Amino acid sequence: MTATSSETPARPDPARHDGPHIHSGQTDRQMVAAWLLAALVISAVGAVLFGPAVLTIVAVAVATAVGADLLMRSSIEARSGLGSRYAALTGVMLALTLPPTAPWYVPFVGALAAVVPAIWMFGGLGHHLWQPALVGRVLVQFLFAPDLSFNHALASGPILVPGRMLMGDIHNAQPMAIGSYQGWSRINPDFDIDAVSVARPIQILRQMAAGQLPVGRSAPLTVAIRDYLPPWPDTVVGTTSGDIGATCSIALIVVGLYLIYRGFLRWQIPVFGLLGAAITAAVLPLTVPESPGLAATTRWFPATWIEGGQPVGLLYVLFHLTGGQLLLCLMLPAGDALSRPLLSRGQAIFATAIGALSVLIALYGIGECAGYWAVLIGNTFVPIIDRWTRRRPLGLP
Amino acid sequence: MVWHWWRRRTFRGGIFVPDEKAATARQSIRSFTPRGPLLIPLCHSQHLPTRPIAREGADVCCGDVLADPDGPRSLPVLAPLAGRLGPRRRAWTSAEGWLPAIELTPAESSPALPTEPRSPPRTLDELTSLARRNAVLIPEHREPLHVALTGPRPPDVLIIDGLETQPGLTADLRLLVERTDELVQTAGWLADVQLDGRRVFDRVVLTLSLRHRRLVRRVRTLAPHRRLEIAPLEDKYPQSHPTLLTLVITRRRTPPGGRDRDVGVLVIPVATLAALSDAVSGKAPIARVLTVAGEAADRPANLLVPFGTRVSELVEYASPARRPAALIAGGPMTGVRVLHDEAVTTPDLAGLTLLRHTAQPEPTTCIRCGSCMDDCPVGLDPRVLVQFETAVSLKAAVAEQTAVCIDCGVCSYVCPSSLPLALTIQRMRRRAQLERAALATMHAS
Repeated sequence: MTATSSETPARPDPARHDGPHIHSGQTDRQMVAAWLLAALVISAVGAVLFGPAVLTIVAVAVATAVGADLLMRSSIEARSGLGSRYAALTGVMLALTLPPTAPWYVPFVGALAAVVPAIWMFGGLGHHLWQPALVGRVLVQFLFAPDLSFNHALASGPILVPGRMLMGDIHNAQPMAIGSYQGWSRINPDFDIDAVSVARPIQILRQMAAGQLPVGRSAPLTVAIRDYLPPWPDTVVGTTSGDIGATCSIALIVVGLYLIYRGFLRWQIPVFGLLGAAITAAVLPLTVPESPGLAATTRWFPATWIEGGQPVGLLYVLFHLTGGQLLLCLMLPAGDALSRPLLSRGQAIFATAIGALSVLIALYGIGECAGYWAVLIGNTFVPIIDRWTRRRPLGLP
Repeated sequence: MVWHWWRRRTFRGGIFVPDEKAATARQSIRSFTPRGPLLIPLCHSQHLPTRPIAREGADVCCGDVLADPDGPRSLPVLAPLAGRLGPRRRAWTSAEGWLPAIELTPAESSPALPTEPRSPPRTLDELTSLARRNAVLIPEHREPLHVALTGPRPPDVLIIDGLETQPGLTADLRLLVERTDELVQTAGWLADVQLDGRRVFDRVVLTLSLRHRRLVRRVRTLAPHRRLEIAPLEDKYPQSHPTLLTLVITRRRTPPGGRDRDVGVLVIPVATLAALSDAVSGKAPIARVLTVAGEAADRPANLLVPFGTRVSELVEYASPARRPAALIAGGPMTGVRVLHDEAVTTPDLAGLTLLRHTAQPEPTTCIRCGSCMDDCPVGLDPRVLVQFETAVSLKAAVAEQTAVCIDCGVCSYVCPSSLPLALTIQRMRRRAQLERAALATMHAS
């Protein structure tokens, strides 16, 4: 401490201050309530897209999470103003990351794993490192991988057909032949089925990066988009296969804007996350498969590809942004106030890393949890990011 | 162009508190006549000793000396109204606690104030003697202006703060609006004050709120010459703290535990400028403008109140029907709870806040949201800092960080778990000071 230049005390007697006498009125309860509302809106959209099976998954996840939380609380006598609200939020978030065909024991085990080890064994709220819902999600992926892939087909999942939304049985699905799928709105509803099983966009992109997609040499992206991927608007509206909360990009964007408006999410996370993903997808190479007489070639910068005068490379990047789990991860689990970096600078770094990693894992990794792994890896680096972006107190070196 | 250049000048952190100024911002200053006896503190601070010359039962006129300064730093105490002196008592002031005081029963009719305009001060000596004679006090540390001007490191930058970022207070704003010409003229004189043929201040800056565009325009038009800089700033709380004004205007960093004077800057509020302006025009320093406002005030007002008026009279004026649940001397962010009936107004009291609720939300546990760190205006991490409170002895680094804190209260205000962060840091700083003092005594013996 530096000595002051005059004889009077440097500051007024410290005991004199007893303020502030007002409070912003913003409490942690309101914060969790806003997140819970956002997550419930997404699960309602999921219920419309995937039918009543979604409600079972959400109910089992929330009930298990809250029950486990109460049990842990009573056993270790923890004190918190939030009660079990955060556990309920964790339950809903876990449900959003599960595929709609998951049997009831998957959310049960996932929620148990999310609350007991991922929250409480780390020391309770504010002490855990990894986003609890995603910890539960990747754990059930290891334990119940066959149950999570529909009809044991890794690359596809079901979606309710037009006219059967909200009420249809998602398990009563018929696989669509590749090449015959013209988009969700062109499905000719058969009276016997409620759903069709269509390819997951990210799985198609991964096959393309590995050179396993028979797309020819002349216009590979055009062929992939026309014959293998669903129409891009389907991935925006959500009428494509995927996890419960991950498909409807419009709802996710609306919910994200609401959280930003309420001040519980900073714009840096979605914006930098999308930016990181877009740049990574624009740069990382795709493999053009071998054709008679020519070996397979790896070409970088797919965003710059122009085929037949069309900038299809840009459309390919858009599929990365809306086709997978990226938007869900950025709007809900990555922005979770308890496991993100503290300052907005750090959050920008964190989100950029998540976006880049999620594209990297989606293209060259394995499994169906690319976005979730990206967030968990990002969470691992939160303490280091916080140290990098630490603020310097005024007047101190 | 200049506008945009200033517009960018701000600090990291801070928050836009709902400013609650609408109730009084457009009300002109009214003068307040106390009905009951006044309780006049016989010194301005415990560090500014005086020799009381007032005797019980004597009749005094407005402006008569009640106590002579004892020592070169001290200031005289003048009678704010004509009347008869009563017994010696003690009075409670928000900044200093209990001070010796004398009762004054105002006379039925107070004669008009004698005014004898003086020529404006041209040299530093004239300025200091004028400030001393008229008991001009800087509220922030209750330091007399003449002491501030003649310290070991005389300030070369003078910042006149017209921002008043504390919610609810409008006294300085009303002074600026109603006495613009006079205040700008006085600021111009200050800019021209010389010592040994050289100007004392390299820069004289008047900070205003960006939002008050008409006021900014008017002051610009009136500024007598280019030596008075007009700086419209964002009124982000706590911009008007001297440390942050120094940082934003001069880019000088105040050392931890230090203050604006340590880096050659003097920050005075508009109220002090108005007191100086009164001194030049020959008015005795007997009253100041207070804002009496808050959610529990039925008649919020800007009042010209004689020093020594009991705070309870002002509360009765503003809220005649019911007692407020809490009375705060100063603004709601950094003010002090008034708990004594003998509380009186002093030159450094800028307002009273009447609150309807005393209950703060119950503190819960930290959820590591980072709001306190993000909004801290001096770059501390209160969340981590308060964890050291239970340590056996505070480490030097922690003690140094507690000294950086400027007591603005933003961390407690924004904390979603309503933890008492600001109070804890204050307590830790106090403890660090005690520990250091104890260590010094040990080494000395």
